[in-house]
Amino acid sequence: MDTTLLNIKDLQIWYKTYRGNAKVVDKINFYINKGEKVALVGESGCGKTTTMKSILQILDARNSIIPNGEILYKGKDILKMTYNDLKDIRRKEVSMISQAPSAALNPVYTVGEQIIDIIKYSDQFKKMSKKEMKKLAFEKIKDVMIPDQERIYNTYPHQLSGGMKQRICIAMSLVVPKSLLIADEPGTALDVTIQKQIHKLLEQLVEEKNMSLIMITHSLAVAREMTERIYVMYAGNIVETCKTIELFNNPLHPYTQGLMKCVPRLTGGGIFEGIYGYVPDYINPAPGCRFSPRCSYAMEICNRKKPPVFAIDKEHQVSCFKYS
Amino acid sequence: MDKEIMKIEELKTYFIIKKDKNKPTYIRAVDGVSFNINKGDIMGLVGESGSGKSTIAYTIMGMHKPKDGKIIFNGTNIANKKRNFEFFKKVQIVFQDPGSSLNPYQNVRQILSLPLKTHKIVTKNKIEEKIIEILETVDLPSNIMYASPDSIGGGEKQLVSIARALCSNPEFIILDEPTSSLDVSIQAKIINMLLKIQSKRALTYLFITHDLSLMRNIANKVAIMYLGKICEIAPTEDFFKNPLHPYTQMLLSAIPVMSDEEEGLKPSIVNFKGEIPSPVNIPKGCSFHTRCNKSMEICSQIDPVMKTKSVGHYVRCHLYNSN
Repeated sequence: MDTTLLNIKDLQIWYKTYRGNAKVVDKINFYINKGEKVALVGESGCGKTTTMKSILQILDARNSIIPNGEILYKGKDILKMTYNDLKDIRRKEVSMISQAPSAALNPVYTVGEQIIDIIKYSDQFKKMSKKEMKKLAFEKIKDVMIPDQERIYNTYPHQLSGGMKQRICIAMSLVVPKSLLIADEPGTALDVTIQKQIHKLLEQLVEEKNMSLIMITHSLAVAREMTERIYVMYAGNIVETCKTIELFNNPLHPYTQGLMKCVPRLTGGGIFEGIYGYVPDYINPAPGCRFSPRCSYAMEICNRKKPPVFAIDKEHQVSCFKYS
Repeated sequence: MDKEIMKIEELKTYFIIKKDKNKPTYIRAVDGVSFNINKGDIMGLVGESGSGKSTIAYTIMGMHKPKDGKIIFNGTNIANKKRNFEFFKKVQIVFQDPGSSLNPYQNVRQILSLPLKTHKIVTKNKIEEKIIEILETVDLPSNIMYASPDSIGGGEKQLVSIARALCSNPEFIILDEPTSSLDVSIQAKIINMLLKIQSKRALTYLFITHDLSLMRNIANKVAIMYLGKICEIAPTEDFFKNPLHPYTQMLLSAIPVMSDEEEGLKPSIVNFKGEIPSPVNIPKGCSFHTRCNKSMEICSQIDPVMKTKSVGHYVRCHLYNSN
């Protein structure tokens, strides 16, 4: 039986700027079940990473505000947690792999030292001797298909290639068995062949360890290959959600349809015109649907009112007046 | 009639990393590349990062000195000559990162008026008119003229870069990953615009990218590069129907795709191994043999030569014999 692991309800996130608050995430609802693989797809600047960072509470507290919403992790609200509880979530429950592996690793410590640090402070391996720690670190490096652990253990991040660094980041995020892994565009900075390897590895590890995976990506094709369910995000709103297969067979929201046509296909046939216009201003967003200025189906009501979520069937939800 | 505009023969660009009189150490960024581009063609140059794609572009533009080889543009070899204004009027380049290739202290008007002045395209009092006209061709509003590059979005910045390249009415444009840092919806828009301009002005493009599915939709001819060498070169249709080189097959099968139909076009390879080796120690023999799943004994000994498989389809692999 599926049980909900994480449930985000009506979450709003604002960033403070000198011109006013930028309403970057605007009342989104999101859930993930145990053992499920979910994708969050959207173009750059639509609030994907911001949403995911709020789960771990690693947004910069000085310039971000969460005026409204709940993030329920196993039934408990992360936003109301004490610092110690939050620390436990970060240490034992949720991990995140960042987009740029070179920025995620500390350049002045060796890879080994950084992995040992995680083991030391993870609270799970108390009273472990140094030798055992090293052995465990070797094991974790081996888990991500790196052949010569001894050498990698003693290298500094800059001596490794991008793909290797990303592997190390994955190894680090999986030192402690976790129940949720957030992968923030893990293959974007890498070449396609390396990206394929990293995605395969992630898929395999997630299955092996029975974790849930949230895959943040801007590529619909990656989401198609990796995940079961999909959320499409545009300008801080989730515009469409359904099973991944369903989305590719029957995309409903005009934005999803436009986005799909933009992707160049291997079968050829040219490229669609693109989506007219640009992402809206977050500081003074229009009262209506945030996609309406770019939408070719826009009706009069779209500029006035924010579209609620319409359920097409049990799984497929779309937030567009076209389907009211 | 197919007229050759650019021909590159056995081009080599090395970078010295260790100066030693007897035995200097080189990075062999481009190591014997030959191809030719006909007038009005769009040639795609595809490869992983570090394969030397951009180095070829920069060598053509004269930013790097080639160690050996010929660059023949409109019939004259320019490999070791200093590029003159006449050359830059005809050949232009659009860089990958619009953020760092536009001067942040200048506004769009200043950026676009420089090539107009240097190449004396229009007289001084008509510059404004000309700029508006050029901005129109790239679908930018004329009021963007007084904006500085950092106040406009990434897509618009790239459009300004393209506009700058178009200022001197060039014949040949090198596009060095012009859309790799942009979202797909903006990419689609820019690519369509580039194609429109290309057919209108009969331009020739050398399109450098790492995205094969993009190549499928725009290029006439595709060349695949690996560690400074071209491993396969073919007309686009032929290339995607019948990829020959194991590296090409590996690249194709790694592309994430959108439909089952496309899935069927990909060669099925289960085995992805290794990463691109450093260009300082290129493996002996065929440079790809360390990652190749069809590698034979001969591959680690002898570097294969380019073989013709069919008209315009060349492959560099021991698996194939010349037809």
